[in-house]
Amino acid sequence: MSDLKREQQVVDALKSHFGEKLLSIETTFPRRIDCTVKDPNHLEVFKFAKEKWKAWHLIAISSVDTPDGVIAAVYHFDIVPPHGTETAITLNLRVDAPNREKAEITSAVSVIPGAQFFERETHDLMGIYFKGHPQLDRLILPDDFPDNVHPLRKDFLLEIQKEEAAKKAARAARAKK
Amino acid sequence: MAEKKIVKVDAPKTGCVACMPRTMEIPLGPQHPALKEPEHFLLEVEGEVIVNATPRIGYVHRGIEKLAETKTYSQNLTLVERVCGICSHIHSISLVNATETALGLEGFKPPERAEYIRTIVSELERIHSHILWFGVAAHEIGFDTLFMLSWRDRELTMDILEDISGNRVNYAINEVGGTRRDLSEKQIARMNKYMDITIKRLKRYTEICLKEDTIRLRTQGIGVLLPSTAKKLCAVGPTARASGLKIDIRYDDPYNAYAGPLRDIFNVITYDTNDVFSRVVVRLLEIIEACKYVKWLLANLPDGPVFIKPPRKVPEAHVLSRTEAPRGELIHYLWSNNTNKPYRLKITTPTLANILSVAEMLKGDYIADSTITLASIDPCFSCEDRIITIINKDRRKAKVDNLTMDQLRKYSREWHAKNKRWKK
Amino acid sequence: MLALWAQWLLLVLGILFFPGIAFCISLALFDEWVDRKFYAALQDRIGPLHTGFKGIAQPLADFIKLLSNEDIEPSAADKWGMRIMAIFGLAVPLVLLLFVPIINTTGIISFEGDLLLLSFLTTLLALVIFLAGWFSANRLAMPGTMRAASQLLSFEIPILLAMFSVAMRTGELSVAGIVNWQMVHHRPVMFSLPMFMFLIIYLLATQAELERTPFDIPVAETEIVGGWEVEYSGKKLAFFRLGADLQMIYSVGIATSLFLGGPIGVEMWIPSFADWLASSASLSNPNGILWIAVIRMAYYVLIFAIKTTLLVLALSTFRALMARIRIDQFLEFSWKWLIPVSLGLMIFSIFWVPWLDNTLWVKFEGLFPTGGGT
Repeated sequence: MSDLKREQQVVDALKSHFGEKLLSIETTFPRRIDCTVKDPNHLEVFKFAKEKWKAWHLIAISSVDTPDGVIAAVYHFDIVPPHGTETAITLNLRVDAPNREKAEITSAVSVIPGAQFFERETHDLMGIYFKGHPQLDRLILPDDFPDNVHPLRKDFLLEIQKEEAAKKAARAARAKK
Repeated sequence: MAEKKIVKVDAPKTGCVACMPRTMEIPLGPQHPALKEPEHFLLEVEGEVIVNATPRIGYVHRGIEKLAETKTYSQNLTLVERVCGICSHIHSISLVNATETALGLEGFKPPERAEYIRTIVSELERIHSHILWFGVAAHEIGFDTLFMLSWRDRELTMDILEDISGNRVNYAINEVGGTRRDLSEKQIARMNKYMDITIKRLKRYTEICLKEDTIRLRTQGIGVLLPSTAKKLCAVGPTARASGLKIDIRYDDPYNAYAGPLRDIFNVITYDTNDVFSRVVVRLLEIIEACKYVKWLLANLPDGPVFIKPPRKVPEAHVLSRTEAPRGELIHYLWSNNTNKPYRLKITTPTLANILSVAEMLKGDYIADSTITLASIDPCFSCEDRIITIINKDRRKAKVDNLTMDQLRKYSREWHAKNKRWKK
Repeated sequence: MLALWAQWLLLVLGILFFPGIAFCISLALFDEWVDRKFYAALQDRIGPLHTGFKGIAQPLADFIKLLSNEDIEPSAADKWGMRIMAIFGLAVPLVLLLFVPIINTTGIISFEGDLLLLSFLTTLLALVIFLAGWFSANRLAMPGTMRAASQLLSFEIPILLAMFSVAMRTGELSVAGIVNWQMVHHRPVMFSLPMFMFLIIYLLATQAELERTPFDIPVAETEIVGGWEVEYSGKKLAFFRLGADLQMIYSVGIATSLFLGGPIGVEMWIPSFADWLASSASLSNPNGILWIAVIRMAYYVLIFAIKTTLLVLALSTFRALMARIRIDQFLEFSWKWLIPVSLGLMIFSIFWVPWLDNTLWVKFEGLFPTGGGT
């Protein structure tokens, strides 16, 4: 399966259906497709996959505070579910939030009800507000945790990270001397 | 920001029965004898029947994802093994696979023997985890004898694991680029012997479970999760397989030794009664299958080194690593940035994927069945909750009495010689 | 005859020490140890080990430890209610045990018709448990209480039916009378098909009455965290635990008296031995020989302890073999099967008893030296 043939077919199908809506699409590893779309378009990708390949399995939702300072949610979706002896093909669908302060992404719950808890977790830890989510409550952080503080963002520093930064600054200062 | 919903648990007013509300709220957890880890379910009950269940997780939240960003890949292997006490190895396999896939961009390939050893350990882990679950489930339905006996048999697997890795819980056998330990001929012979015993015993338990009336009374027809609902709620692992969905990452997205010839003899276990009984059967059959895979892997173990030194820096890549943990599908999503530390490591565990299904299963069940239904997905809440920002910096070094396994054996033999009446 | 004050003293000593409270508690703790050890052996474990000989003092140690534990009372609970119920939970089984013949063919308290009083008092135990759960005002105790109430009340009926079938069979309405009937007729009540089935029903119902697996529904640890006893800790819990042990002894003790001939052993079939034992009727008889009375007492106690322990072993085997069933399945089992079956059996035994037993028994007559029918 190293020739990425099946993956290429999926990529072609997506490209021909969505065209310009896909900001980028590539396959680096076998059985994986990385793709980026704009905010509400990911729902359409899901709907399309559901119709074309009878996909149903949303594996997880990751969230990344990228080096460019963009808050992104990555939907991992079994775009081609396994059938017979064929393997599955997974789509990593990245959706960028418009800005850091008010990171809003349309919720996928309307298409995939199983996304509820993944989105709540992401909301809790990365501070992405999912529009249209039925119950966007605290899930993992304690109830008395301050609002608008999201531990997985890069501007939230752990004690050791602070120490490391302080050490680095001290080293730089010493080097200057 | 969404409003926070704080669940308050008040003591009910004593006195008149008539003024009690129609539904009563019964908290299940965070501390509950049936739950091995803290977790909260608020059950709304009418009489003995549950009409609604609201889950709340996050009580064992340790900040592993954030912490992983501050540590090197080798250190992270140690860290992610602490995500869960039971399926510790599969986490390190997942991370190591992700790392090695990224390193593969520079042409790095781990030795084959190491991949086989990893797979063996992960199958052994599945065996002990499933037997553990089986015992816990037996305890939930009040069948303590089965609980004790199955845990006795779990010790065989634990002994093997201790033998080959030196640890009972966190095996620490993986390293980026291979494994830390090799298997000797003696160990292989012993594993073969123990696997035969385990298969025999497990077949017996399967027979008991299929025939014993009280077990069937307590497990059949409860906690029903229809295949369509399972699909809708994205259930994974044995929970989905017990609903008749044929998904297993070991087969659908093969990694390590599963990608090799093992795939030809691989057998995805499904069962279609959709209830707790179905989950029991699926897990029991999976143990037997896992024993067979271990034997097959041992018979076909390739020669060669178990470790190749990897490059220090991991090239920039976004890798999604999928593995099949004992409880279902485990995800490690790695963003590497050409340094020796991950930029972002996202872990999604099977319990988080299954927790919605449980809330669905609980509706319409009796309170008496709530715990076995909850246990039927084999919940692992410390897997589920990983991220908080408290790091205990001055850990006092624990005092360890350095008894090796052979010394322990000797001690137990002496003990039994002294106390003859209780010899087995 | 002894003086009146001496008789009184003997009675008080009997109630307090032997065969009263102190002895019964020791026997209860011993049987708990036997139960635990046997249960552990069935599960391939070792069981209590370190306290005393093979851990024989472990139940006592547990009791003392519980007494010393902190006693927590929830603020919403009815504190005095909880306290009183804990005392009742210990006292009622103790009172019940005074009716069980242990060193004699009669209990310490014995009168014509005491079977009726016993049936009333056992129902009182169910009430005590119900109120104990109710007073603790805990939302996990409430379902436990409801379960306890429905379970205990529905299993009272088979127990009462079993007890009164024996009374019907023997024509006696006191425990002592039934024991004597077995002595006179040279056979335990159990040696008769319907009565044997009643013994099994009685033991089943006892298992439910004692809230042990598979009928430990009201105190299911993994479901409702101990059910009605969830709020009880320290001394109160110790009282309830000991009360449960005593209740076990009482239940198997009554089963022994009603079905197995109580403290009567082999002398049932060896008249010379029986005559020798009877040569001193009681301690209070100055004409009797004292050491025979002592031997006789020891012998009866031994036989009683052996029989009850055997029944306890039967109960623990039952406990180890099954999973806990659910309350609705339990009630279905109880009301749809056990109660109709025991009612039918009762009617059946009326017709069975007068002739079939005798015809069957005559066949085995030759086996025992003095055998013989009614």
